[in-house]
Amino acid sequence: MALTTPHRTNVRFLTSFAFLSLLLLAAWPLAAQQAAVAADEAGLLHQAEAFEARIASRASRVRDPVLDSYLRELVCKIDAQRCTDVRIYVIREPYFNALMAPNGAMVLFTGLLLRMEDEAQLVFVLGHELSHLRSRDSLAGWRRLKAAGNASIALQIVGGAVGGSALAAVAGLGALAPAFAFSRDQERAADDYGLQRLAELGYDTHRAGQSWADIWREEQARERKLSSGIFATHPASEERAKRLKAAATSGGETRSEAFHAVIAPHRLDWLEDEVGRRHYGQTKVLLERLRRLPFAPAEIDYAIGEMYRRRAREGDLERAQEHYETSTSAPDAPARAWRGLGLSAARRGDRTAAVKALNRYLELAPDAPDRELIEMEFEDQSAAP
Amino acid sequence: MTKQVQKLLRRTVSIAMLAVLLSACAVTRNERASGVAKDAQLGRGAEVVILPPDVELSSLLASGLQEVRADWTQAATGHVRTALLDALKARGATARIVEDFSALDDPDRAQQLKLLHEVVGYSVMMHGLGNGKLAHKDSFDWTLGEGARALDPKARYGLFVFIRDSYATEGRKAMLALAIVGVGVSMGQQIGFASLVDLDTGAIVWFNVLASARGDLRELDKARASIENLLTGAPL
Repeated sequence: MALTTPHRTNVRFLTSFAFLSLLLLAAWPLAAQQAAVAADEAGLLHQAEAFEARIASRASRVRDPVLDSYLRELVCKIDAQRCTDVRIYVIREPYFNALMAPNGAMVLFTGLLLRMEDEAQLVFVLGHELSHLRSRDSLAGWRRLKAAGNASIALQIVGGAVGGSALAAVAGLGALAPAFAFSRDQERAADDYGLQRLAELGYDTHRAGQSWADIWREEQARERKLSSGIFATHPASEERAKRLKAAATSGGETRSEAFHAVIAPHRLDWLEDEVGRRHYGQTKVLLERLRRLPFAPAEIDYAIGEMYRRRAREGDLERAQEHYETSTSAPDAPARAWRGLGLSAARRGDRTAAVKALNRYLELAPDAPDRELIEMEFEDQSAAP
Repeated sequence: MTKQVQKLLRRTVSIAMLAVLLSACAVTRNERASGVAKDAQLGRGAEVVILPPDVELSSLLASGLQEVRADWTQAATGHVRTALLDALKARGATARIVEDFSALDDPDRAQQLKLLHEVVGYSVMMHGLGNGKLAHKDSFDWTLGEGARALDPKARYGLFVFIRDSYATEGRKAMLALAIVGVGVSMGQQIGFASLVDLDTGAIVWFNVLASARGDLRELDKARASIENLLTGAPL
């Protein structure tokens, strides 16, 4: 491009320029911070607004006034000062994740809500995210990255000057590391704030460590060849779970009923999303945990049935059938459990049982989106006695 | 944070690829949909709506990281709007600008269509023009699909503009020294694309890519020059 034409330029000038640039770069991170304090934060806020516009218009956004006002009340309980600055978006994706943008846009993925056992665990997560906003962690992180990035370039030039390109490469990597280590510190500070508010609001502080211990068990069940996409920005770690457990100081409320009443209308969809990830090792750990809770066992059994039916390894169809049967024998069985029962019977070759169960499904769910597909597939049999 | 970094890297890589694709001072490359004549003036007598221009200006730090500048972006967005409106009027089109989608029946859908255009635009830029052109794609028939009407209830055409512009900081300029060791150091780039979409069919009837190492959207006069470049070959 226009500015990189070294052959036409005086070589001696460039050599002296190289030393000058080294000096400049060494001083750059500090100088940049002082000169452009407002500019970098304004830039981050601008990006956050663009991000929020994207998130807010997503089709996968869960629009439920009951859920929204429940989350808002919790946020206001945790931080009354900032509660009007925070906008909460629930996005239907099976990720265990939450994001806090520096402009106050908070994103919760449904995979996180599905994994929460009670209000106490949710309040801890919300407190953690609010801490990132309070401490303006995005800005600090960006400044750290900038400083590290510029230092890394400076080191590459030094490395080049002493003639060791391998050394330069190693030095370059080392300079970038603090940018990521710093974010771990931010995570710890956020955990501390979450725990502190949990205790002050009278919740059982042991619940926070429990949720991370459960997530850690789920992470360990990951099949090696599958990447851990759902834990991307909040990595599960034994250290974190232990730290939170050790820091728990007081017993108190869990408010599990209040939490489950709010998520109940969505649970079945979120369970299906989870099974749809096809990370069956993790899903099994999660579903077996949720099955032990006193909430919606028929839905969980249906989901376990779905998991086995779709995985379809040796013995899975029998396991699926067992869970579908448990589900359909409950008075609050989801209609879709009958469909699962029918499809797994069909897979085993038992057409009569399949047709019976599928008819029951269509009876319970007259508007089923897959009605035509099922009727086409099983037409002959339903006509037969 | 890591996601932001990944996004940053992806953007940098795609922009770098484009720079290789069009390595010169100010290059534009435009294409019309198959069936649109060379001398077509689609804008004459038809209403063209200018969708909210997506403009972002950054400063290019010594390390190569780009830092978004809200003040520059705000000024540039205003200049781009003015320049686009004037340029279209000069071409005899009935043009109007959309500030945001809040007046529409389904603003979310319009917003998602705008984002879809961004994705399709990236694909056209990478695979519809120049060296990266798909080997078996003979016709220019990129489209947003029939739902494009949701962008505006009346206008016949929608004009989309997407520009990313970066300017070297003093620290970055010092990096020129690296040229000694044979490293190509970018001093900032203006990359943009514009497209004219038939809102009845969703078809992209004209598309233009602009890549420039010059230009400055922070000033109205220079922004006008960039917009003239960006509108090169527009059937308006």
